[in-house]
Amino acid sequence: MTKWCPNPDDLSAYLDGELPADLRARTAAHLKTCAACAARHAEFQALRADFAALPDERLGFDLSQVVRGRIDALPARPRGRHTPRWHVANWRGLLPIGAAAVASLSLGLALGTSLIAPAAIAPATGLLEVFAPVAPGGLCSGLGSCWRPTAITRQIP
Amino acid sequence: MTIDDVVLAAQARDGDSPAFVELVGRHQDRVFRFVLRMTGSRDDAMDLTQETFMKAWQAMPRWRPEAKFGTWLLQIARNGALDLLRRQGVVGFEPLEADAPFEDRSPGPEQQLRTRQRYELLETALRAIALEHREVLLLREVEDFSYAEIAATLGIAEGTVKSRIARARAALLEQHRRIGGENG
Repeated sequence: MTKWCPNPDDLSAYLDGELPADLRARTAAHLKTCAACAARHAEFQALRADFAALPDERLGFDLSQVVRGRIDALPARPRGRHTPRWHVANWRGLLPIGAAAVASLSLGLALGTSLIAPAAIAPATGLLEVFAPVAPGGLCSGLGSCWRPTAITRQIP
Repeated sequence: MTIDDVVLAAQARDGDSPAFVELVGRHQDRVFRFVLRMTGSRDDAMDLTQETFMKAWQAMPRWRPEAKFGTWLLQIARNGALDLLRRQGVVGFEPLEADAPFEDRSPGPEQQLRTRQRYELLETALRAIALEHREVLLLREVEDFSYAEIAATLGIAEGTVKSRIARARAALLEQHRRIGGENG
């Protein structure tokens, strides 16, 4: 039977308490019986002890006062809102301009549409009657003069 | 009674500078310690610490309560340290492959060094390993961050944190032995 050993990532994570419970229990049991893994684990523990023995480095002065001075020298950031207030105010201030722009666009569109609409290209038949050869209310001289003007034109020569 | 970081951070986000100044006092040594060990220079670390807080103040409107303030702050500090090291040409980034085969070497532990010698050796070994390894170990071993917190700070997946820490420990042990051997 092949002997199981945790992989190096898991052995390292075991030290950090970052393994799932079942693998952690299995690794703990394994360390009691495997000299190589136990030695590696001891090395990791020794490293941890060395880190814990590192001197507690400190800045050595109160930086907060320095930062306070630098912040005070900056332009004030507005208080009480996550979103800068000027941003919202500006947005509201632009509303009349936006409305005027929308109105202008709408008017332009309406005029443009009226020029190219089918009604503009083909005016109502009633309007064209002004140019008809027979005055309104006049008698029609014959069916041909009203409905076949091209045929009459051919017969004249 | 001490006010929670999250309360102070929320006030600072809303423009309350005294609340932010209180946070500076609480976190200045932690930020300094981290960037000092990242850069290895006390002067650089002092400048970086101050700049970290100024950047944090400017970025406060974007802070959200879901992000632990200390984690968020170290994220800014880490980016500042990386920028500095890049500008100085100290670090040429070599992307570390999460899936690269990992060779496990397990020679016996070294127990003969005294405490002072040990941490001096550790500091030297830390400076000798890749920056990606150094930062992940500092966050884990010094700052006591969980894998989830490290993942959030570095912007990587938790699985990558796990494998990177394992490789970082192996690299540190190797440097530890090498430097210890040269000095011993």
